[in-house]
Amino acid sequence: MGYPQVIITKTSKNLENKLKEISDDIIIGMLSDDKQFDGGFKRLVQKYQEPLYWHIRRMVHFHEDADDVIQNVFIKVFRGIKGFKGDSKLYTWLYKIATNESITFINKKKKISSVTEHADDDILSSKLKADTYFDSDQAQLILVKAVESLPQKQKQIFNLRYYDNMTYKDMSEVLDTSVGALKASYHHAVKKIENYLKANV
Amino acid sequence: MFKKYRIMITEDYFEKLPDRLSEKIESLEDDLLQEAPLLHSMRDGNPYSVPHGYFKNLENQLTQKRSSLKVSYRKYLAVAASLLLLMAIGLQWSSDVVDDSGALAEVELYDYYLDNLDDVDEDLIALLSEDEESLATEMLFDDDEIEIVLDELVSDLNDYELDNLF
Repeated sequence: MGYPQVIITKTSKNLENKLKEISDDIIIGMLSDDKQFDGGFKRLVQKYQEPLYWHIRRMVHFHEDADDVIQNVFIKVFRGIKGFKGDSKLYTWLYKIATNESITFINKKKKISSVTEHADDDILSSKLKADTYFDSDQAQLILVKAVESLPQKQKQIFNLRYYDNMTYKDMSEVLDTSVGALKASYHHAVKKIENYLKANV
Repeated sequence: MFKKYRIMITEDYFEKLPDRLSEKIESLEDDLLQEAPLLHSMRDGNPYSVPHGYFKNLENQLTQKRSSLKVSYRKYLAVAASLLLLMAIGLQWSSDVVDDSGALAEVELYDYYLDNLDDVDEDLIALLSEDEESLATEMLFDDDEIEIVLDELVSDLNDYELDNLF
């Protein structure tokens, strides 16, 4: 008995891209082979530099800062990839490094500047408005400020879910938090931000 | 007429199907549109941008950094090898049992590796580490302490000194 014939009349660009996308298993396989390591690392950078950059950028806001952090992230990945045992997904392992590096960067920056939280918020607004690489659309600026008003952990949860469409299961690996707690925190964050937007937009 | 194509699915399609389904279910559960319509309307916006060609440059920059890290690792390994050899010689000299022929061989070996650093590789260091494991424990050095000493040694040297160290 033969298989039913499927006729595809139109292949979406998205599907084509997905099919071209190299799987994490192949990348891990290449990285574990000394002869293919360079090629494997190149593919890892090609695949993840953009999503990780945007994840970092949403946390640190400024391009120069995000550029510093992403470079540190990939250096850490390069140093640690041999020790990656595959206990978690490559994707969540990378996001975990990116998240931790961003938090370390933010904390260092906070230590250097001794301004109050309120003043910090004003400084962020004015700096963003002056930033060449920030489209100072009023509504988006308000959204950035609303997210910034969340506690650090809740901010990460919101960003991973809202912007990166990450599943709660994967978020749980990145943030070492239970799925239930993540869901509750995300819904609280959504309510807080919606209220902030209603009051300010 | 329909044009026929080969069926193509990714290798891990069925493996990842459960995750994709649960993701879909979660997105239905979320229902951001009902819960937070304003936030929902802003979901596709991205106020941030990057300089033209940034990601291509980033890829190149990372490749260069990776190459320089490889060189740094060689220097780091060279310093580590020397330190381990020094520890081994020091411990040998301080032990109660004196073996003249053995001590001479250690010094010769040390001199040899100072002159021929290319022969020092990770396997040799691992071998030396295993040999000295019990002695290192007696000296109460842990990995962190050794790493701190190595970091200090390396950080005190500039690139020129590192290049011409041995």
